[in-house]
Amino acid sequence: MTRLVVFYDHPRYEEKRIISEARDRGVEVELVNTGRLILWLGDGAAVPDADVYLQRSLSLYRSLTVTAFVEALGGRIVNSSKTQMLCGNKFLTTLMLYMHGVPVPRSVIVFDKHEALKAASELGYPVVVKPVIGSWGRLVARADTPESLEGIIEDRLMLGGGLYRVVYMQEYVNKPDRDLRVFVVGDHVATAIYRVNKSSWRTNTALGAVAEPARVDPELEDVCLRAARAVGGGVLGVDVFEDPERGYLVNEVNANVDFRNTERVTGYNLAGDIVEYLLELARR
Amino acid sequence: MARTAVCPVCGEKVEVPDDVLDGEIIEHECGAMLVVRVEGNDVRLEEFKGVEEDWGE
Repeated sequence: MTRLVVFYDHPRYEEKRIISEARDRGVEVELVNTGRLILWLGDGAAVPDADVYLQRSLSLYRSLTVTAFVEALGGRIVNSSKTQMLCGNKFLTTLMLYMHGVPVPRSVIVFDKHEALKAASELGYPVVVKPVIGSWGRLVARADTPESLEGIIEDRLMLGGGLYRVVYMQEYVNKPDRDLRVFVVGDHVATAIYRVNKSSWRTNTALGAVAEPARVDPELEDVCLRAARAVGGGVLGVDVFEDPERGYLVNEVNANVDFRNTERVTGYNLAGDIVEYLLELARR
Repeated sequence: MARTAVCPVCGEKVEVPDDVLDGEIIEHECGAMLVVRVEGNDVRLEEFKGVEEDWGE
């Protein structure tokens, strides 16, 4: 019998679906709340044995730490610490995508307000300012003028955390009122949705965007598989803009995907797909 | 059979489903979001303080 350990901190729809699909396939599942772990260096006793591990902690730092620990013990874990690290930092993601020839929006990093203003005038307004770490659209802002950009940057620099001193700016892509979320599981594209928001330029479902099923054409499939490989592969949500002139641009790659709305509107058994992928890894 | 715990916000008894998992976030009818802590057969509730900086996809 295959043994799966699922790391989590706050179990939600997604974790329960994966657990249920695994148990339906006769997999022995053990749940480990990462918040309860005591990880002594050199002692693997805190981590139960398993054929394969799945990391589903919401906290990026906790997730990265526990995943690295499991890897050091020789465990096979999805997603890997490398993938989590690259996807957890939006600029590192963009950098890896760019280096692997995946089309991305024009992007720039600055550390100072004056340099931000210079870079923005070259990018052209509006510009999008993003935190390098963050999810669900939090702290993603659009500056339409130098004055508004100045205010956003001053706010970021006052927030105090070192990560907010890294200012990641992107061109504003003139996309339709939607983006694509494409799910890659291992070496295949599983399913995709549009995230439509008619009242805001941000298309995160956490911010009110509506999920609709989307068709994946061969070009989109190719772009998303290349994006997944660029960050080390695994179970990933690739966010894609449709630029009217340049075609598909990969905006982000997410390493701990939410899929409640996706399963609801597509009817696709994504949890089952993830479990099949884990079983395949366990057999290798 | 459902277990009960006390809501730390309103002080009322809250029925917690038997299959609840440690760390699960539930909403109480008083409006509070609560984190369920399961230790053996004991269940207690903590107020959910909100999404943390590094949470998310």
